[in-house]
Amino acid sequence: MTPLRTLAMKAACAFVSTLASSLAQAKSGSLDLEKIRQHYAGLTHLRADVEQTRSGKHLLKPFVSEIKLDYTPGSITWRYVKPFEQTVKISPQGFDMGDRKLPPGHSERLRSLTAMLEALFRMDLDAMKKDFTVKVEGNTVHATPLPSSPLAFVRGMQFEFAPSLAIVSVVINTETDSAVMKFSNIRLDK
Amino acid sequence: MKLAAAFVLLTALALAYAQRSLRMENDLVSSLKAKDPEFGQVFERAQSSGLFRGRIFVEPPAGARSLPAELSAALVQEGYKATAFGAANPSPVALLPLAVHLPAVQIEDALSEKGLAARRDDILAGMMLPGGEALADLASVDPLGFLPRLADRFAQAIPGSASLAAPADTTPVFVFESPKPLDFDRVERIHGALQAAKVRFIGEDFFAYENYATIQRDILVCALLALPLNVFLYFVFIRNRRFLLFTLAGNVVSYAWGLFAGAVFFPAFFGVALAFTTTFLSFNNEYLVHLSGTHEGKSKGRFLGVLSAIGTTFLGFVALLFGSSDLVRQIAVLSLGGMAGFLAFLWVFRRVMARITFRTFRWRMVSLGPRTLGAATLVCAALFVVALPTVATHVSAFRSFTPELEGNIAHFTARAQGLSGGLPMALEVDASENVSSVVAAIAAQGDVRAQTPWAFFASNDVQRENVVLLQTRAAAAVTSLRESLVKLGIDVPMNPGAYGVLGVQDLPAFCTTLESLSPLPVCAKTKEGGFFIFLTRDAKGKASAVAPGQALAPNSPLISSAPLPGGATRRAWSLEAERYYDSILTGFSRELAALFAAGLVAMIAYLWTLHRALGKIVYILFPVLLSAVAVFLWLRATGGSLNIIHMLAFSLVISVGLDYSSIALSSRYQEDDMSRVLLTGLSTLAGFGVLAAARHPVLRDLGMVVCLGAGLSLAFAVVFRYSPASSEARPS
Repeated sequence: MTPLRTLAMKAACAFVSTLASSLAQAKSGSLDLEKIRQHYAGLTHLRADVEQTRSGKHLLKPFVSEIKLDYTPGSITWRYVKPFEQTVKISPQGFDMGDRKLPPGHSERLRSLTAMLEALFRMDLDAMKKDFTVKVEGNTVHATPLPSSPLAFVRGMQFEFAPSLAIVSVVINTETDSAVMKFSNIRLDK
Repeated sequence: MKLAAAFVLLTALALAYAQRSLRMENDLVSSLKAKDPEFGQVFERAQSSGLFRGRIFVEPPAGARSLPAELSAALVQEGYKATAFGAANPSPVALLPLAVHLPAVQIEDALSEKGLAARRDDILAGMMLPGGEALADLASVDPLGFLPRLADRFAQAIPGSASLAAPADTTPVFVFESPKPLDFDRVERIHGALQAAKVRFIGEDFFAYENYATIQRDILVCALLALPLNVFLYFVFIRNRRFLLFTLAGNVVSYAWGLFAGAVFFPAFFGVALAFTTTFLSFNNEYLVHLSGTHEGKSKGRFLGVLSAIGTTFLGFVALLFGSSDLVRQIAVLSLGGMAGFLAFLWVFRRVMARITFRTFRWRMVSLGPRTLGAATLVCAALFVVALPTVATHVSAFRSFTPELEGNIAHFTARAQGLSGGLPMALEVDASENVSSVVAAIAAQGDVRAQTPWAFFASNDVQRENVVLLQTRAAAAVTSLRESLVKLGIDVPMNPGAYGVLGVQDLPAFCTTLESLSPLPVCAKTKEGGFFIFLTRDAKGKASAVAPGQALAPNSPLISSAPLPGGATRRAWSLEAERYYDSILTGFSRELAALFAAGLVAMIAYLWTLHRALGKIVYILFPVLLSAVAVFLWLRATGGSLNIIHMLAFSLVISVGLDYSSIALSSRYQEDDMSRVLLTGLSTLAGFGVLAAARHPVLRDLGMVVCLGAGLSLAFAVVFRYSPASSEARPS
């Protein structure tokens, strides 16, 4: 697997997780699946500011970055604004990082993710559940990939929701690193 | 009595041996081999025998990403083992040796300060993504970031590298290794489970099973139809009905010896050949009916007629023995075995046979003089030449699949073509050539797609230049990149010597590297030490319309844009499976046509020794000529081509059709003998006519042509009597 493929895949994973959190509240607790479904039904544009703290084996210190997230059906833009500027665009056609373009046809994980993104764009809970088992505790959704899923490299994800059903934070732990993303300035267009 | 007992015992032993040894060949089509062994090997390699052979492919309903649990369990229970489609995605280690084929300017860019800064930013952006740590391992292997460029150039251009299991439409295909040996009962069960699960599936197991199921059904239906029809004829024509048992016993003996002969000469049978044995009944009836009268010693002429009838049948089958097609040879061996068994039965039980009497019928015949016969023969000969259709056999004539499997074949073919990018072909290159120049020259003509890894093969000069660049400057560049990342808080271990080990790749090394990247074979060695590289042609491009002199037909050399070094002709072969099998079968057809002609000459010589009169021989042969013309006109009218099945059918028409006119002539049209001719003719029509009810196209075509030929031959023999003294046809 090429570096960019892995990279883009994991970026997609983070975004999937974000949206998945809206759909994963199928069980009990304070989160209500049907309300979430209604909340995001007909979504045409989602924008948010994300503050991410990353740590990992090769990071000499926790690394904090600020990202502008921009989602429309069929396209996700993950734009770093601090401490550097760089844009990653994710779509069913693949991943675009400046002069690097990766069609999804060459990585099974990438294809799984793009398929899952498609499911998410359609708010397709059944498709989501093919890759994750979901457990709801309070206002947090815990998602664990199924062993057979191509996303099994993700150890676990937690999604925290506000009472307004807006996403508050996402924590992703993988085999080698972790990321904590805090969401603010969320704007939803329908 | 002792002789009869010994014969019965021997027959039982032969049947037991046949039953124990009888094996079914899995698939008639896949057993076809090209006459040119080198071409056959290249084709087999290109067909990726290791990837597609012995496997089945299952695609869940659209949108689903896994197979139903019950189906997965059923597959495991039946011994199907889940496996990957082919090689894993190219690993960085496998791709990196190809860096020497990059344009020198790209390597210069990567080594420049600007390039190193861009690379630093890429690594930074990537490692900041959730899960971006994985980038560290790849940055260690390829610090300067050549891999994405190499993946673009090579991995994604390799046919089939985006495997069937991972299509763009996101519906996966699950691959399973088939258990060995092929067990039709097991395949039947899994075939049913797949149908019940409403999934798409394809694989050799199902090709073999559906052919087998069709033939099994055809054998049963044809046998059930042929038997009562023949029994009815016997009730009408034979006075003593108890001899029905005699003929039935004789047919059992005939089957036993036919199968025994087949088992001795062939390790496995094609289902179609076995289904052909349902026609034994017709042949055997003919021998019985004619031989049962020879004891009466009515005339020498009549005995000659019987000899010519059996002799021509024998010669017809012997001629088929010389064919290259296993199917044709199997039919010949089975038939000769059956013939020998039945004749032996008649000889052992000749006293019983002698007591058989036949009902005699009488009808008016029309006299045919030599002039009329000659004129009719000339007209038919002219029509034969004018109406001769194209000789070609299509592989589809040998397959009988359900509409569901046909639909699945079309579906998976479309997906596979989407992956490989077009129609496969092999192009010969010399090991010393710059393969990218050769491909570029042909691609410029529109013959092949330019999007191929071979187009990125760099000349030795370019490679040497790149190697020098990497050996002298890469280590320092890697050290600098690592230090710049450490300053940003990222410490990725990077090997400064990662690129120093790369060297110039010759064509064999390039082939080896590509093979390690692709799930499909990309090249094959020639006998002369060169290579066949596998390319794709655009199915819709001008290459699909092959120009004269550039025929990409299998086994035909292509005069390409440039000759091989030394001026030799460069070979280019189409590797399309259908064209490959079509060409083999068409070759068999032409060969069978030659055998047909040789058999005819042998029969004419044989008939000459018996009759020694040109007019008589023309009279005997005329129905065959008439039948051929009728079939040619029918093919012309329907737009069909003359295929190997028609050739085989013609041989049978000669075998049975000649007998009617031969016996009629030899017996001087006596009522008793003409009644026998009528009985055998009707029996043959019944035997082959029921093949019209077959589902398998081979049996159906065979039945239709033999019925047409035998019907015309019978009609001619019972309507026209040859009168050498008469110059006009008149009522007799």
